[in-house]
Amino acid sequence: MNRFFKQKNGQFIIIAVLFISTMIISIGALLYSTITYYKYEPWEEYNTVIDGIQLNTRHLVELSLANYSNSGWSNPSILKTNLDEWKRDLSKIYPSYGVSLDYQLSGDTGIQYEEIAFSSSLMANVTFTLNITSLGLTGYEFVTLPSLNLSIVDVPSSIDEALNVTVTTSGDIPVFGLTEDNFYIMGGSVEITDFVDFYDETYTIIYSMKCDAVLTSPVEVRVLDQRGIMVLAQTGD
Amino acid sequence: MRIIKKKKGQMRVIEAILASFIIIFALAFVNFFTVNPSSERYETTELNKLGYNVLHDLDTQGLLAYFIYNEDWENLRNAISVTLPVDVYFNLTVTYLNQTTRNQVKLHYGELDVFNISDVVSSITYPVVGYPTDPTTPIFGKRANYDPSIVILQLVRG
Repeated sequence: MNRFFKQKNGQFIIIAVLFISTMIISIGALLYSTITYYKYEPWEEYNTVIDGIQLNTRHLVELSLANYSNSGWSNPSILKTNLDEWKRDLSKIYPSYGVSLDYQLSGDTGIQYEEIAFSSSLMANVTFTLNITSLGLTGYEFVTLPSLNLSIVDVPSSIDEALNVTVTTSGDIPVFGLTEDNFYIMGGSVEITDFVDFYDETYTIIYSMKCDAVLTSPVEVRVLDQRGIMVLAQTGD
Repeated sequence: MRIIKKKKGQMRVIEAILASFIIIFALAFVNFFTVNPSSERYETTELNKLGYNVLHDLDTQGLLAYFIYNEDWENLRNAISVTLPVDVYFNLTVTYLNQTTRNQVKLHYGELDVFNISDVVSSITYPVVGYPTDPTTPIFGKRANYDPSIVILQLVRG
């Protein structure tokens, strides 16, 4: 037995194993602290709170455009009024988060409505800055640019010809999925009798409508998209 | 017989046993401090994530506001039921900003008692701002007023 303790060989293995054990424990401790930090911190929840605010702010701008266009394009200050209320209400919805939302309107009202012969467009342009003190989020900027454009491409001269229009949104992206219920042709009791959509040679979607009467000049067409935003386009006299 | 009498090499065996003990001890020590993924803290976080994702997905598709402002409570309940896993029970309340309840019917899946007896109940708050609805008079257009609501979704595992 005495010989075992006096033996000088083999200590190297013990020392190596001790080193390996120390490394295992150290790496384990490091992983523990990292995993628990990232696991316990509800990053996804934070992202969804921010996304929820951003998404609903965008919805509110669209809703304001819908309100403005459905009230006869007469109250452009509705966007500012709604945004001020939303700013105030956010602190009621998230009382413990410390949410503060600032905005900057493009122009006086943030709404631009342009109507020229054969075409019209409605657009809002607002830049937002979001701060959430409890998450340490400051200066998060996002821009909302909802828009709707309507252009009259062809005006029928007889009952057999169709009225062709294009409907686009921001970035000239065609608006899909519109039906005859989304269009209204002014002028007496004009009804749409035939409705089709197709792509032209430039891959723009054309909505083509035949009516039950000859349209008298100036022809006025209204379109109401899925967001509730309405624009009207008129031909010249 | 020669093998038994041989005196060389025993120290190596003892070293190997000692080394094994040290490694086993180190692994046991590290394992002792690892966090069990099914702990309560994880469970609440997981349910929170699940709830937020469900509401956010419905809102992105435009369904959440559509169901609320058209008072289509049955379809709202069904949409959340099919999106959540079967073993997750929910209790949904839609309120005005003054905390009064907006939904006239109770929207839940699973027994409501579970929410009282369970230790791990997750609660998610999500805002909606309004939705364009059909006007009362038949004209071409929509009513689009700012009318905020708060969606409160409670989740628990059944």
